[in-house]
Amino acid sequence: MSNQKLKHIIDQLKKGDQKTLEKIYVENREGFINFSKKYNIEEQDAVDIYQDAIIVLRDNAVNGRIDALQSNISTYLFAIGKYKIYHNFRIRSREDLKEDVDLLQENVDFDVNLDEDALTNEQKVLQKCFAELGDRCQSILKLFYYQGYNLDEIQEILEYSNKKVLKSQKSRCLRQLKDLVQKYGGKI
Amino acid sequence: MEERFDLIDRYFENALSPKERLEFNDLLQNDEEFRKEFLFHKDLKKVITRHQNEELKETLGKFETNLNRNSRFSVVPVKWLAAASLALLLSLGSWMVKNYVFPSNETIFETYYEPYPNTVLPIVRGSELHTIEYRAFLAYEAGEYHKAINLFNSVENSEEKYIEFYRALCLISVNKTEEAIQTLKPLIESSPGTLQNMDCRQKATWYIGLAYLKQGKEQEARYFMDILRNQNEELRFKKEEAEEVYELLK
Repeated sequence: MSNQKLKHIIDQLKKGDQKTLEKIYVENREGFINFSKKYNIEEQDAVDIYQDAIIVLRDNAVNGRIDALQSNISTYLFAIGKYKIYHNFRIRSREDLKEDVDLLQENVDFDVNLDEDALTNEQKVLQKCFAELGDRCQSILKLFYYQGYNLDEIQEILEYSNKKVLKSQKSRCLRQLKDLVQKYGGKI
Repeated sequence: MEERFDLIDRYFENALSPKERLEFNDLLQNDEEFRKEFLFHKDLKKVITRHQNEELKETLGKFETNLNRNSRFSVVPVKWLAAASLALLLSLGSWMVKNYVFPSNETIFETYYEPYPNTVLPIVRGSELHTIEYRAFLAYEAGEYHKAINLFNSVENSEEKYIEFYRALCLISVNKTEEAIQTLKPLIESSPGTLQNMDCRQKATWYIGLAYLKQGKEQEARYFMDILRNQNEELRFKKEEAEEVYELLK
């Protein structure tokens, strides 16, 4: 895979392009499921792990962690999947898999939250409240906190006339969110 | 106050200057209100990430449903597509048709051959580790097959199956098909039994078949495709492709 093509794919992932994601999903699915069979993992479990690996892939793309990736996406995706198999199933006796994982840790900046820590109760309330916000607020906050765009970029993406308007809109969204949290009795 | 909280935005934008960073840290330690505000933003980031991931999980569920739905009908459309292309070719004149109905071995090879993706070592620029094996895979992915062959030859564990496998693929790519076949054959003769061995055998079988095809030895190519198209339901590596090549070689 040429570097340019790879960069394009990573960019599309960052933007959340559905088609790119579906293509990656479909192209690697069977290979991964077959691979999992070696470790006697049921198909349903393998699909679950595979989906989690896709989620990590997207997360890492969005966070800029794989901007310098040189292997193709499939290789990277498989590496995440193998790592997850190892961790989920604690297959310690399988030396071959363990070696894969060691290689992975040496070769990849694996600074990724694979074992998602659970949300605290307050965070759960916050998540519920976030889902209740209007579309506009959700978009602004997603672009800023999740996709990592700065306010200038968001101003352009969402076509605000100037940064000040966007800033006060963002403040209003946060205020609204805090009010909702208060309504649900969360302590923020 | 407003200005103070601006620092939080700039933190998330990754845009704090060294001076601002000091100020930021100072506020974080000594200003309770600032700290609470910052933690709220941090929680929000985590919560939105979770929200996005849950949304994605739903989307993936839909991909999965689509896949299951499509696979039920996939047999027919492929045939229809083949028929449609044949019709198109008919209109392009008999020379083309001859080529389509009796495609050359080279054409079949070109259609079906692609180097197996590197699923062993993920390559990341800037990695500290530059073992020979790592560089071999780097060359492999870059399509520098001569270089890759040399490197695969010099790795410490050169007799390992997966090294042999990737080395053979390089050989096919540089047209040393006979050597490739000789490298791959021991892989299919390896002890049967475990699923992993079977997987390796199937991959080797597929590439031996293609290598013979490239040599123009149709009989041998068909023999190996026949093994693959008759593989059991558990493992289906290139089963359909093998069926297609088998038919084309009839």
